[in-house]
Amino acid sequence: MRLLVSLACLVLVSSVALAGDASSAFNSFCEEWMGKLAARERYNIANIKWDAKSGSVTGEYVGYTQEHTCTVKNADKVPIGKIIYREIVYQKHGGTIPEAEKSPAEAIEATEVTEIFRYSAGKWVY
Amino acid sequence: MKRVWAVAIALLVGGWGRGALAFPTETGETGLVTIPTTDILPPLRPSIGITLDGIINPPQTATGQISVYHTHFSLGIGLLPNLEFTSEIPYVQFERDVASHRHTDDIGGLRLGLKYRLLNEENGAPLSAALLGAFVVGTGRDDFPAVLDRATVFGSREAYEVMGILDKVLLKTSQGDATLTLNAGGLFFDKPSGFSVENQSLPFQRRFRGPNATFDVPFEFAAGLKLPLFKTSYARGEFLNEFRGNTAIVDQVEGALPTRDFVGLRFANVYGFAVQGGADFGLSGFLDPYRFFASISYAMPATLPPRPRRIAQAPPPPPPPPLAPPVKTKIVLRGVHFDFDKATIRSDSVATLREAANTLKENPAVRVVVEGHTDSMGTEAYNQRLSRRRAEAVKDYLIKLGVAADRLTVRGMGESQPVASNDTEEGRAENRRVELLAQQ
Repeated sequence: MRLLVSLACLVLVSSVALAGDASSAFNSFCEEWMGKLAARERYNIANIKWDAKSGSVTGEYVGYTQEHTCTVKNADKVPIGKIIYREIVYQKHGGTIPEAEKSPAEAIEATEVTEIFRYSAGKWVY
Repeated sequence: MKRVWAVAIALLVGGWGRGALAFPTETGETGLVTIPTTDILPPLRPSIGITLDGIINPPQTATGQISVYHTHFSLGIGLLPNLEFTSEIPYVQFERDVASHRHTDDIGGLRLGLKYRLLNEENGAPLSAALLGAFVVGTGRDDFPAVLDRATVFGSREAYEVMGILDKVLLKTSQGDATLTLNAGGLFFDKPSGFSVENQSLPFQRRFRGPNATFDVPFEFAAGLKLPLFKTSYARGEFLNEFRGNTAIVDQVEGALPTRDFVGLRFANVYGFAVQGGADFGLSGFLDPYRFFASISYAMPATLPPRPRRIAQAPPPPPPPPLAPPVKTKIVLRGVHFDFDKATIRSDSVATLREAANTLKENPAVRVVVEGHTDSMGTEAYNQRLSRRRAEAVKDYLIKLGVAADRLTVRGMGESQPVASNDTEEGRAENRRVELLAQQ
């Protein structure tokens, strides 16, 4: 009986420790992930495919809001993390490509994205 | 010596088949064929390389006609996301006087270096740039000339090396990027060579004399062109030219060769292995002697978890506020893993699917398209089929978890909609995903 209680305590303590590790790790993982999105947006801007039609140039790229939420759920055995942000399709116009590059971007489509991650073997998996 | 070979072979064999596919960064930076690139090994990922080189048909010099064969062991490891440690142990395996048949073995210098990447084209910079600084510790005999390449510094001479490296993607193809690499740098010796100097008229060559030391400054530059072959391998053609500061040393070994020109070819695959070979054909007009070199190297693919790191770059410029376009919704399932080459969901992925199913059950009116996406490894047609089968597997599992079947349709997108570069394992992992798109 004593052994069973000890084992149960051990499992409980391990679970709490795992949940704590997962939560604290998710904060830095979340920031890292948003950093990836920012890098992805920079790449997208640098690689816009321009479409020239009747004297004007148009190009689109995908960007991401910096506003986001990061939440961790430990209800199950496996901690689950969610990052929610908006993915926005921007459009740029101009008479020439340099003009279009300098023009302000116009948001033409927005998608609310929820990314779901799981915690396994001490790291957040994607 | 046997122990060194045993360790090297064990590392090679032990590293085989570690799983994830990723082009290794350059290893075996011996300055023979493979010229340094701006690639940096990810933190804690090691790479090793072994190179064999030698002189064929050695010339008759003042010290005799000496055949020399070397082995070089190189070891590198990533320290930080933009910082790599690199080291090299040249070893003279066999040195033989053709006339007298005398031979000796000796160890060469130990080269310790750090490579720091200043700019990364993948992060939006116009090109990639890195600086390589190395310290060469002389460990061998004092009277043996500084043989043949910048890494093989013999005797008690110590040296410092500084090199600038530039990489520029010239062409993006579906097979990968064609990249031009340029190197330029010099090697600074801090002790006299012991040889007389006969020719000081070469360009890029200086000699500083002090009370206790003489500095030779060989200058070298190199160019390499990396061409992707299929999706799992690439070839690099390379050219290296070196102006030797101390021509007397070159005179002793190679005749009056003022410069050295190498050409070589390197093949690498995603499993981490690279083989390279080439020769010094004396493009400067001296056809004799010539050298050969061949090497194999291995860099551990990205099986280690990505290290959390702070993104030091400035965030992208804030875009103008959205003009309230209609908002769609989607759920991206990360870490849903399947058995290799199959559409069987692995048990460790169930928690993610359960969370997605709960979200769908909380919004019973929403119909969803289950989209499967792959990275670009494999053919387009294969990836299209695989992504559809995997999307169907996810759909089936969601139904099993209580989501109504008539709410779910599937679509296989294959590799057609990458969200990140397929050139890195990290990018490919971002591209492998399942998305649940809410239909309006």
